[in-house]
Amino acid sequence: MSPAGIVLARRPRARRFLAGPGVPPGVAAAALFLGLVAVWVVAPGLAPHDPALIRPGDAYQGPSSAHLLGTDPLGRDVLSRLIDGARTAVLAPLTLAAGTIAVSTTLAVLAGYLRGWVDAVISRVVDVLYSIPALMVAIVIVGVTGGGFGLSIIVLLVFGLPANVRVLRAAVMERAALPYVEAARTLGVSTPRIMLTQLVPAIGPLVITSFFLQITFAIVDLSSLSFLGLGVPPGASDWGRMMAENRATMSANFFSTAAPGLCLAAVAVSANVLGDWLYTRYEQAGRSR
Amino acid sequence: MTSRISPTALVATGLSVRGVRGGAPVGLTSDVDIEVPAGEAVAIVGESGSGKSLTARALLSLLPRGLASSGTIRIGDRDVSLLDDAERRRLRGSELAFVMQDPFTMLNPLERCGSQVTAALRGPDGRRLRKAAARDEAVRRLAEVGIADPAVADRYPFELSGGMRQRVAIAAAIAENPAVLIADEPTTALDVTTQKEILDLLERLSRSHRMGLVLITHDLRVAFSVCTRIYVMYAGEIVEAGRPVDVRNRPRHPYTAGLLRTEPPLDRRVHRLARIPGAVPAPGARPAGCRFAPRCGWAEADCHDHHPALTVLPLDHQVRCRRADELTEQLRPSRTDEPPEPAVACAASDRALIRTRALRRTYGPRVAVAGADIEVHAGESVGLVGESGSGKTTLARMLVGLTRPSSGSVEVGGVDLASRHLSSADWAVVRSTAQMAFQDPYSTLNPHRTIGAALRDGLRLVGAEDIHRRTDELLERVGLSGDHARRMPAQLSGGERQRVAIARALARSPRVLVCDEIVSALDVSVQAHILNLLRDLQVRLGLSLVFITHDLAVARQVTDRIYVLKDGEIVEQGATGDVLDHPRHPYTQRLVASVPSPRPDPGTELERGKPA
Repeated sequence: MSPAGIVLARRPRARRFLAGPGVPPGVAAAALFLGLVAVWVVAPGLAPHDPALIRPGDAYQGPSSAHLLGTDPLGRDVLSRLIDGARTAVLAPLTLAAGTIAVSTTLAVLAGYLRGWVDAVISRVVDVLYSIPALMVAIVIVGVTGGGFGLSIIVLLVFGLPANVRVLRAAVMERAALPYVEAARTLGVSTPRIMLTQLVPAIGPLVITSFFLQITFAIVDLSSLSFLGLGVPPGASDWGRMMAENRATMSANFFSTAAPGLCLAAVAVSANVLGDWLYTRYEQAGRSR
Repeated sequence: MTSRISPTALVATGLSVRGVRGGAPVGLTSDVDIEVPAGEAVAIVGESGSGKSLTARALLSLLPRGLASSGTIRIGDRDVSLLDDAERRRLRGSELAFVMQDPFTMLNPLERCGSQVTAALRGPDGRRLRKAAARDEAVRRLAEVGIADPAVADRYPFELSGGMRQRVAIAAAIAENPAVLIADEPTTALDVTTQKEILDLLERLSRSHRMGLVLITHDLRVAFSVCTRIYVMYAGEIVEAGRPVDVRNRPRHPYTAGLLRTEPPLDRRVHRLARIPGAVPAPGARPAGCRFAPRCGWAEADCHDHHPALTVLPLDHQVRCRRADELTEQLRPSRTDEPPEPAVACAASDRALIRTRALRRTYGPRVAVAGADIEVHAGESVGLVGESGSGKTTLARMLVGLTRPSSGSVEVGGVDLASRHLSSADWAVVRSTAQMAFQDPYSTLNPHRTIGAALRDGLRLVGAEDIHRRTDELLERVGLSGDHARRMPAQLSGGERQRVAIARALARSPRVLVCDEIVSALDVSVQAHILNLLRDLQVRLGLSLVFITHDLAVARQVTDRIYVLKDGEIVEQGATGDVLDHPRHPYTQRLVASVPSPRPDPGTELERGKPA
């Protein structure tokens, strides 16, 4: 028995999930930042100016008390556009990541537990998808059809599947051989029920991590599309689009490009930090030795 | 070498390990004094949570992060506490060697055995050995641990059996002729016959190399079979120490006496296995007085108030108990006064609930089960015994439909599981006839679901009406309380988890419960609880048991009939008592003979002969 086991064993523990000693400062900072962005999402009215208001006279301004982050080449307030853009910057990746992980988990459980031809079909499709560069296809499809934001989300969702399906499927295959799954089979629990009540909770920690990782990818992919002028319509205050529009005049107002860029990076990093921490928590709650 | 001048190879004085829990320092072990003479073996015996493994790691200065030790350790004539980290590192391997429990993870899977044995060796010039020299040396070292085949040096660990791997690990550990070898449960993962060989090897090496051996084990039989001194640990401290003969025949501490009584005897079936109530207290929750007092049948008010010191009795027997002198007689192992139980506890009916004919299972060219004919009648307990690889688990899995037979038939409740088409009604018959409980208490329950959820799965399938009340009933039937239903598996001890696993199987009200090594991962005192529970269930519910085990003493206690398996074949069968007392097949004879027995012990004979 491991020495750590000696310390932990034989003690009825309250289920430690989110409660417990000390939240690390990095996690607290990440949560705080995501909280701020969430406030921007639900209350775009906090913006000090109308984000779409064009005032050519105020163009190319640096930070001032009237415009905390200065203005862009059209004289629009950068901070207001940043706050207004939070919605697409956060909600879209969230939806995209949630969708990707939901579909991946379903496919992974089906493939990893049923095996046979179900596994063969799912795995081969995943292999094919793996070999295609997602962003390239998204650019072509969205660019050619002019399909807009909805279509780009669907395309990115499909191409987000391969990595997640593979990781989760491997985890399912490992769990499927464990005694608790075999016990359920011996009891006569139906296959769909075993998948839903045994396997999905068993890979829960991994699903959470994958979700947060996927948020990062989604943020990067979606803003790349916006940066290229695809996805969100012109004029919308999207962070990726702001970076693209303002980078030519970066010398006039550094923050017009840097602020949305930094915000994007910070959201991605925060999501990762938070996800990692949640995973550890969830994992420990179920771990016994 | 200088270290060999002193007759004692290792002396630890006041060795304590401390950790931190929830911000407060917690003592994990306290004041452990151990002395290991050169060329002799001592054992540190205790259950999980006793601190025996931590003590071993403290001796090696290999404590996990966050733990610190104090006290002095002398190896030969060097005081380890005065050395810095680099010097301690040099000490490990050269003076102090370590063999771990798991022969499967101890060796590097990507390196040949020979180079792992000689990895630490240096030539006279202080350089690594040349390739040819290293291989010759490896072959020589492997021969020393009983591996005569020189080809083993060129093999990878996965090509070897568990016992061979353990030998390679021992060869690697003693490559630099250390003064002390610390072996942490070196035989726990091995079969009985292999276990005996490894124990004999360790004992021989410690004598021939003048090496002090520290054997960490939970198994008193193992300790008695090789050691010259036994240290019994409980809740982080030594409670009794002495010669094996004294500890075995005249235990002075109630805990030692309890451990000896919970050990199931091989030679007869007892009416009820003795148990120690309660559980080992966690560090930080240990009683202020005697740490064993809450579980002790002889505890007095004083025992709860004052922490007893380790006192020295004649014959260098030490004990940590206030009442040691008064209890001498009560604590004597009273094994012979109790009448043995008749071999067959329950009258078995003629109706076979499970019947297999020429049952076979192959995996490619490998034959797991080669034509087994077994029968399980209503109300009887049937044992399947054998070593790893004997096919006993595969056979058991075929009985509940987890593994499909390659050929032959398995009739469970009248349904042949080998047939191609089984309707859902057929499966319902099978499920309500045979259920299974698994070996590993840590993976038998889904870590992310509550106990109640696990039990309700089965209850829902039999259409139970008041599911929550039935859940409570099931828990009470296996000796747990209803509020366990809301707990997570991580909050339960190993024994409690196995009870839940049994309750889960009972949820479908089966006629036969197949138990696959369900006590092998548990401490002896916990094992006794589970075995008693199974016997109760057998009587109260008229349940039949199929009990798979490698431990013959356990088989003796719970089974009426046994089948002995070797390489997938049943080599002997019959009433448990007959088979174990008069084994006819050479393999069964070897199994019975391999159970560790106390060292031949002249002390008892002498004492009986001369007046005290």
